[in-house]
Amino acid sequence: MDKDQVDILLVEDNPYEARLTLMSLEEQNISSNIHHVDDGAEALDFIFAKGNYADRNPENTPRMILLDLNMPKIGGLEVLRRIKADERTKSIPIVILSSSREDSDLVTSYMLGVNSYVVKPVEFDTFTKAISDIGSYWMMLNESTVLFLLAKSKMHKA
Amino acid sequence: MIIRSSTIKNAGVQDFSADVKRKSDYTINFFLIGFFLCGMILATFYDTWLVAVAVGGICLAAYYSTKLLLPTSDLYQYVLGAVFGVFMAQYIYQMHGLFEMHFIAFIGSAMLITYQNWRLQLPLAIVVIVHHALFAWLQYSGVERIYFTQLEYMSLQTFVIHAFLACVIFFICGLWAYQFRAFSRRHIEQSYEIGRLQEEERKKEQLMRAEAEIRELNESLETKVRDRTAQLETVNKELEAFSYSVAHDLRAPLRVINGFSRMVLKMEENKISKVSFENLHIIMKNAAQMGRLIDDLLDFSRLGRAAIEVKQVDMADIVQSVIKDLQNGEQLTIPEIRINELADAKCDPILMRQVWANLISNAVKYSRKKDSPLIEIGTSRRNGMNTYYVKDNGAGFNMEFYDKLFAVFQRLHKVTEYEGTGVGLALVQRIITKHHGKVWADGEIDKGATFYFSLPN
Repeated sequence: MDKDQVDILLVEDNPYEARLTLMSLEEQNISSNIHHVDDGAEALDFIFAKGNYADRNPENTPRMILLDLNMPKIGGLEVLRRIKADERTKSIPIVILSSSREDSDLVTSYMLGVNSYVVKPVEFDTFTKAISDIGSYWMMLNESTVLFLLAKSKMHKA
Repeated sequence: MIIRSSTIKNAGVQDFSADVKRKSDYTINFFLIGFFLCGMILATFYDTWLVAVAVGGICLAAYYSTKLLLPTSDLYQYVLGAVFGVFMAQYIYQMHGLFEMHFIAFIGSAMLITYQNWRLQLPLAIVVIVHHALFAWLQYSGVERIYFTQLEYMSLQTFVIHAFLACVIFFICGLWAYQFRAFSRRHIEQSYEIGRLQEEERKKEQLMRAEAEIRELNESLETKVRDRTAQLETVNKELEAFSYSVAHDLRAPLRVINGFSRMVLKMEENKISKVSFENLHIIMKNAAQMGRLIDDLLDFSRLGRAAIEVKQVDMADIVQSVIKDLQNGEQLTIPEIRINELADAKCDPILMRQVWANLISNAVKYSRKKDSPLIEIGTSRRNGMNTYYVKDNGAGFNMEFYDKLFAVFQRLHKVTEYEGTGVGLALVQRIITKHHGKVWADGEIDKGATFYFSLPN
């Protein structure tokens, strides 16, 4: 995968959940350039082109970030804060994918400038629906791909 | 308080009087016997034995009999006054008018002071005057064997001076007795006053000590309350942290189980056996059920921490919107719901919506197997409180298990019969309790159930 050309950055520490999210996105025919990192520290390295990602071009920011909240080392809220505090990255749309239904997390996230907050439901059908909403959101962001995706989707259904 | 102290004072005076009486009586015994014996000695001079024994004996008998017969009365003291006079007369007679024997009256008069009662001088004075007048008259009338005085010049003038001086002495002795009594009384009253003041002072000190103790206790209580509050806050924070991690850590694996089962089901739909297909469904259903349990439990615990915001709420509005939501939701057919008059209430609208949603969805759930399910909602007034009810004609419940009805995770029906987590009614109870209201129910198996709750106005 081309590290410089990332459309969606998925930040999720649980590999199974990450796989589930990726598969759901795939099911929604959103399989464009997705990169997955395991924790908040790595996510920041990726975005700001540091550490393992020092060779990346920081100008090429991901076009959307799916961010888990509860992660070791640097948590999701901290990642969100740093991205939104930086002029270069603050316009990247961020969707929080959280297991937590605590109101405080929701409020903090919105105060930090999150674009969308999705509570991951246990039931898969509801989960896929949430992912599909994210998909629609993604399509709106990326109008150039909409027609292509729609066409692909129709083809798939047929 | 004043009455009590004055009675104490009177009791003190009485005690003192009793003491004076006892001591005086004791001394008087010796004097009387001494007087009697004196009479015996005097009898040797003029051979007046009969007079000494008879008159002296009568005197003693009069004194002691009065004292024994009327022990509570002061009469014997008056008798004593008279007896002293009689002894004087007896001695004068025994000594055949020896003038110095008249002084015996003054010894008696002085003796009587000991009782501190001036009136005792009166019988003595009367006896002395009567004796003097009678015997003087008899002697000067020439009656034989009457001895009053050996003086040759006992004229009326002398007699009057004699009587006057005697009365002056009686008067002075009476005055002394009176003064003594007044002084003693004052003294007793003062000592009681001092005692009272000391007692008051002691009580004041006790009160101050008690107050200081209470103050100390209050202070320590405040510290304790502060400590406990801090502890509770810590525990509460820990609980919140626990809930948070429960939410995240328990739900994530469930989502993974559910999600991957679904993936397998979707991808291998045509390849797996019917049994495996069903088993996978069971896995998914149970994971989903556990997810609901966790969510409900978290709602329940979050509610424990939430503060309620009370305002005037249109209950009919809430009920309508709850029913609308149920109709729009995934619930099966909604039966006939009869809505009677619903009184407004002062409560937290968000929490109250939860109460109605739980009660109405329960009624729908448990009556849906009936041929013609019917739900009735309304208000009635009981004991000055608005009581709301949700009544159905569904599965009902056995009143024997009423205790379990509102307990968390307790259910009276199998999950396979009626789905649910056993948190709904517990949540209802918690919300109503938070509003200082009451919730109760009655029901009968297969006849339906009615749930009531009342809210303070």
